[in-house]
Amino acid sequence: MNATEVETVYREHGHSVLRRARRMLRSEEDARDVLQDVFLDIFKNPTRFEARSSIATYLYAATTHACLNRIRDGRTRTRIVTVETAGRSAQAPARGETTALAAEILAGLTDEEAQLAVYLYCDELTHDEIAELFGWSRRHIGNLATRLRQRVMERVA
Amino acid sequence: MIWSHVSELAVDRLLAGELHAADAAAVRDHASTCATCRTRLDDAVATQREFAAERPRLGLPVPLARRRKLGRSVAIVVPLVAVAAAALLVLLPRDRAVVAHDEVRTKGTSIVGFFVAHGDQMRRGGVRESVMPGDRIQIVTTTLQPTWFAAISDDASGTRSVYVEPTKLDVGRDRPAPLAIELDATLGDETVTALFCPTAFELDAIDLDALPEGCSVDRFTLVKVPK
Repeated sequence: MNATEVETVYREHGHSVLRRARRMLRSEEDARDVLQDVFLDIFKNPTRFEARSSIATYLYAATTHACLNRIRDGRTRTRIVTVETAGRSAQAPARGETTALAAEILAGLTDEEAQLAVYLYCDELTHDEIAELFGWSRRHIGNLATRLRQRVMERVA
Repeated sequence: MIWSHVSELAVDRLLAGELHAADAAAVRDHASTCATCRTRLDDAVATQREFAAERPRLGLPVPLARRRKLGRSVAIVVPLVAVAAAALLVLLPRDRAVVAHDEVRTKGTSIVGFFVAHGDQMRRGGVRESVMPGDRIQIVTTTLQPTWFAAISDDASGTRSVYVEPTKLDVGRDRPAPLAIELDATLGDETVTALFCPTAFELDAIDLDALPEGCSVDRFTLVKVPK
């Protein structure tokens, strides 16, 4: 895949990457960085991209991975938590704390667990959709989801 | 398909044209009766339109063939964006001049600056900054209005290179270019010229001595010394 072909994919599908990154990172600047990073990675590692049948599915997973890496970086995590805490109201006093807890839990998970947690709890994807994103069986996703729930509950407790 | 809500992934696949006709129709039908999914779909369509209208350029490394044509070998390396951003927080008092530019600048509202990464250390570049082969340069731009930007370099041997292909910039202060440049072994003065234009342009079509209407340039010079 050459630069022109990557540019074409970028122009046609970049909007979905940008939207997802905005939603996950709540920062226009960080989202734009992720947008660049995702497509630069395709340019550098075209075989990973070309092997996938669904462009949307690949970009969704790649964007999630890139955003999680930033969220799990301490500075970005702190910024997101700070934004949430500063924005809390009397009607939602616990939101900042909840976000902080969620961010800390994410930081303690493996890459795959963190992605699974986002797909399950934030995106509310079906197990079929998650299975396609990971390239695993639906049954395996079910088992992982059970283990993830246990781990999360242990950390919350 | 049966949903409580249409997922973000399903929306992406719908807009990408990857859903079968029946599934696409089911998504649209569901969205027409569900406020949450209607909002999700509308937001996705709005972002798609915004992106298409903006037509942002992707800052991929300059193709090797083009650099050869221009007669110079430089390496475009991993982005130093994060490092530069961190350095900015430490180095930049917010009320000081933004960049140290040392050359003639045509009238305009955009300026260029740079950081130098030498080994593990990063510093803000100044007037006729001394650099060494292998140092990495992170170009940063400050613009007061959205503009298109490109950067080229002329080294002491008279060789011209493209450091940044034409890219759209949003308004912002000290925004790092997508990629850093690793300096080659050619010693002497190297002038980096930043070109800003209000609309998209092709570098090959630009004459720096007769700039198109609305375009401006800003320059800095590196003095490359032996290690």
